[in-house]
Amino acid sequence: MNIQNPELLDRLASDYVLGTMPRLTRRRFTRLLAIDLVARRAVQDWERRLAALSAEVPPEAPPVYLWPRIEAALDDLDGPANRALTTASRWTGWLAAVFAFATLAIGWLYWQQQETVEAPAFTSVLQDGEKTPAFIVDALRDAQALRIRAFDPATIARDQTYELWLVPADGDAPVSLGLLGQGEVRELTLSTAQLAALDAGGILAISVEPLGGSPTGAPTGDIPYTGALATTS
Amino acid sequence: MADTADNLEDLLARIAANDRHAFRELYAQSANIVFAVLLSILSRRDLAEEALQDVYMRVWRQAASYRVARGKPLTWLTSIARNRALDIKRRLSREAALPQALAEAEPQPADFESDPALAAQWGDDAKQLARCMDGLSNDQNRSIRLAFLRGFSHSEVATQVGAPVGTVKSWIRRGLAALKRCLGQ
Repeated sequence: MNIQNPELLDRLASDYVLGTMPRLTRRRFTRLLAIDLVARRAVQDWERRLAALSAEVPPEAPPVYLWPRIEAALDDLDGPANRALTTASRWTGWLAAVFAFATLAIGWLYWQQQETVEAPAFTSVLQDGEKTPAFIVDALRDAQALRIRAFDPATIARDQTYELWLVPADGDAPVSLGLLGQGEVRELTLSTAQLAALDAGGILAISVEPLGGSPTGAPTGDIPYTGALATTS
Repeated sequence: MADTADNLEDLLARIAANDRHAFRELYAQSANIVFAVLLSILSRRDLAEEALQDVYMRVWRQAASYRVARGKPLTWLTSIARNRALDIKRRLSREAALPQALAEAEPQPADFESDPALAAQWGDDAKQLARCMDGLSNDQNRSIRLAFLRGFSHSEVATQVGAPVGTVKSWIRRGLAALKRCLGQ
């Protein structure tokens, strides 16, 4: 997408900010924003014009268990280097957060019976080389599953898929944990072997593979995202 | 209350320097607004809760890129929130995972005159915007608000107001052009 016409750009920017831009155009325009300062300015102008409409929405407090989860994810984001400095305090903070969340989750279960709420056994934030988070992976131990959240990962070709790997700490070959598609897969069920590998620790990595996953059983494409694995049990 | 915006600016500057206390304070002061914006677009608490975490993770990482010149802190925060919510909503609508709920209660114009706290949070720009919105036709005004606040697509707005999609598109287009002229920027 390349836009020289200022009126067209202004119209696209207003469509983007209002939210009425069709999905695929929106994706292309988002990519343009990453590299085009003029387009970004046009969007910021419309954001400035329209933002105060949000004042119409009556404020609503989020549930109290969200803040500890955000703090826990931040601790993970800080990385092993920082964590080493204050291991004890971070560790207890983490456990406290997980414990607080678990306590709340149990209470929540009483009245929210259809939803399975469970304290994650770990949260891993997978980031690119510039430390921008692209995926958050929570392990739900009792459900023997991983919950995945994508934050606008880089767009890959239609005939490609992201694949999630555990790279074991002991230097063994990476273990595939499953395919993430273009980032739309939100949950992966784990086999006993995958669970055992996760228990042994390591780092998580995401590679770009052909549809259907790596043909060799090991990562074959780029590995744009990696994240530490902070287990709590 | 009068200096809420200044205060949020200070907090963002401190967050850019990795100040976790400032981050907690920013969350305490803004999460209820951000959560409301997310909930308004997503209509599902579970999705809004996930999105809220995503938004604040992004705020933590990107606080250094916030510039006062580009708008008030709340403009920046709610823009991040709306973008996240819209991405989620469009993806789920495509997978038909999100039931298309009609707006049972449509958003009502904010009353800045009788609510000084609201005015302080959003600054004078908000009053001017409210005046300019009043100058639009009812159809233009309603379509723009449904799109911006509920994250409705053109066709969802059309269903809600009972008008053809083409008509809605032109109401929105003309309404936005009129707003831009009225705001004089």
